[in-house]
Amino acid sequence: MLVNFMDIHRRMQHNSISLTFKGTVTFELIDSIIAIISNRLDQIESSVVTKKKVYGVMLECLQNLCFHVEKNGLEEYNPAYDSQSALFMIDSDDAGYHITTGNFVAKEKTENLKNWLDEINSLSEQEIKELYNKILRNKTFSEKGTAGLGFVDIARKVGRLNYNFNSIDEKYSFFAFQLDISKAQA
Amino acid sequence: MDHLILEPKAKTPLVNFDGKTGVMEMKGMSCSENSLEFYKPVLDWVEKYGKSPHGSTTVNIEFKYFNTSSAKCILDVLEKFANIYNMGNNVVFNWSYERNDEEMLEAGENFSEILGIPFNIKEV
Repeated sequence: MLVNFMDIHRRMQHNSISLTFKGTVTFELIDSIIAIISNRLDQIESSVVTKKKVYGVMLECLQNLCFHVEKNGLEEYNPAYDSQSALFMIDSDDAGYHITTGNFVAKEKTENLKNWLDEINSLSEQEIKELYNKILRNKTFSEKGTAGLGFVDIARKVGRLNYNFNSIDEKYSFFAFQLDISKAQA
Repeated sequence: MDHLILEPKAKTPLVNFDGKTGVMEMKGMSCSENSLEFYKPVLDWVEKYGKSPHGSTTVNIEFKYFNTSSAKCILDVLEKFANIYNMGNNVVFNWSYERNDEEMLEAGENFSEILGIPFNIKEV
């Protein structure tokens, strides 16, 4: 089948961003993705506030994927999923920017994760700020060196955290996480 | 007291802490995935400086962006300077942010509130 590449090229050039990655997310890869998207944002986004929001949300999401992706996929490879592999997507339209991530989460962790996201979603803007400060003041870091602030910080920037879990088998669920950064927020 | 200089990189800020003049500067990006490792020597330096600080200390901070794991580390560094201030020493905190960058403005206000110490906050 012959695809009209010129048409695709034209569509992708028009004031938009589009990048999809599926695979193992490494810190080196994050640097490359961030560099590509930052350059593109400098070309198409005039608002400093929106630019930094997109940058910040993208970075926290990618670092989350790198820190929290399940590491036990290799010894029990299953063609239905590759548990180390994650999905990252960013695109934009007239309304704003859309960031989606997907990764496999061990079932025993989904309940905590779900409760945490629901709790953040139930809070007002002011309460989110208070929660952020509370965690900030609490000096502990996780074993992975993460601060536990990631989702709260993202919620501070975008408001609602959209997510769902799809059950894969008795051990894993697929966690899809989706965020919208509206241009009007700027 | 010696001089701590860490050159700025893509994911880590400039740190220029001068024990001889009491002028401390932190500036740029802070979004490393391993903030703890980066800030450890910075914290150690300020801890040591606090034992015999300069007659007056000026802390100049200007971040373009910092990630969540850096936020805790930055608060730790500021807290060490706040301890020097709380012991009765002269310490001035200057927090600058890029024009229109509400997030960094808020961050400065926030750190100042958490520490209970006034910051001079200005747009640059």
